[in-house]
Amino acid sequence: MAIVLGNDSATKGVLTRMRHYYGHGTAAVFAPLEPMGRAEQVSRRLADAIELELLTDGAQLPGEIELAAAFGVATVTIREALADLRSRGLIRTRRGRGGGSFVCTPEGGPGSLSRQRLRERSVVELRDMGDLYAIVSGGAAALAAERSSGDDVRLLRATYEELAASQDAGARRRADARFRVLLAVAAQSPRLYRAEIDLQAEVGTLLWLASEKADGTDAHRADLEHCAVILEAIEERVSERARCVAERRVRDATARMIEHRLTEEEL
Amino acid sequence: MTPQALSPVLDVIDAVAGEAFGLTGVVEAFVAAHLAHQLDREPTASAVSGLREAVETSLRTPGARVVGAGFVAAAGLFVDRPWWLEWLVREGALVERLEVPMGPEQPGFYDYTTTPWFREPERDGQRHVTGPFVDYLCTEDLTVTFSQPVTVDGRFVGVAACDVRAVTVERELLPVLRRLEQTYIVANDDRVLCSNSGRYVCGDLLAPGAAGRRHGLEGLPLTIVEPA
Repeated sequence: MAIVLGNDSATKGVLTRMRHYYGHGTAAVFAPLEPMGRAEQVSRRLADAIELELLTDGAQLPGEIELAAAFGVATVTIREALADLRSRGLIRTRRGRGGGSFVCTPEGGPGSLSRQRLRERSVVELRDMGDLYAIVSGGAAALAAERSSGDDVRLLRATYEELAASQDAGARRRADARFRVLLAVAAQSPRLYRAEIDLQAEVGTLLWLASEKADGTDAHRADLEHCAVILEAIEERVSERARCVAERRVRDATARMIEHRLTEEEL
Repeated sequence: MTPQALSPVLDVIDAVAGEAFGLTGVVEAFVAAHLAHQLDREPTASAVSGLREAVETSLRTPGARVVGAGFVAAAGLFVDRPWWLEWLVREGALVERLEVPMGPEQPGFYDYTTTPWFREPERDGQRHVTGPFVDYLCTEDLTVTFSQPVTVDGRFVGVAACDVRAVTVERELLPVLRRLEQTYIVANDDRVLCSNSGRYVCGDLLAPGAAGRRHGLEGLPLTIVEPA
């Protein structure tokens, strides 16, 4: 074994222990923590949402206390994250009555962020993330086909119509985010719901960033067609079809994302 | 199954629904008292801000089944807040006011007037039991919502509602259900609230043809179902 990490014996010790735990049932307990600071994680999550226009231009962010509660961090961490966003021109803060932090959508779309985020990941990592998201999406769609109520289906249909009619990328991403969340809700599973939210934050962001190029193309039309089929399968309670198409949808998007990543590398 | 065999099940359902609708009754009385003769005077959301005191004790009672309760205003009722929830949630030993985005221009806004727990009482003026459903507004868990309309001077002003987690219902119902032959307790659209079968668990829909004899419950939109 030829891993050389200099003479730092403490680091070596850590590596040895990690190997010991991997592959055991306790692996997740001892899995490495996100290397980023918490403020950076918060600012990254918000920056992604702003660049993707999930948070729309001029929208008011919740107050510091609410944000702290939502992310499960201290208010000073939120302040640090907001200061970072402010310095990057992604939010504006007004003091006093009617004050707060307001979203400023940057000009020119999420192109540069896209490159940066995608470059941080290897192709293998991207594929792995896409695989997990595909399984969760497929599973949620299959259960939704078995368990959705008339109300669930009506909401899904209304959101699909929004998705199909949306004129710009921001509106489309908001509708798509909602479509995916509603699928998990219709599955009647709190855990799938949480998994969807977590995966949307991590993988969904990258998929959307990479889907920019697909706008108005056959790939985009095929994606909408997939949504229509998922909806139909849920209405007709054909769960295997719902699973299959929902998985296919994420896998296609993952392939586009990886192609996008590879093209970016050449530039 | 004989009514006698079912009576322990009915007792538990009575206790849960009694607690839930008891609390929505408290909310209704509070709102009706605070909005009486106010509707022509452009009421503001502050009219119901004292609701906490009215429900806090019930929410904090040890062993309380209800985890959240409150008043959900009809759109446009309050001049300063076109959408408004005065909603209290138990968080551990504390009772906190739920803060949710309160306008279509805010991220995460959710038009509650289209939800069954709001829409149905508005439509027919009756009490409703909605769910179990994954409540992504508040508990983020499988939840049953009990709701009733609130009217002031003959006008619908919103709903009084409360949430009970599905696991709370299960904890009480399972011990009595386990002594029976296969039985499903279903809500509205044949959605299982609780059963003693592994095939049908909370949140599942009964398959077409799975239901045999049905026992309706008076005054409650729940049905006890025997398999076909």
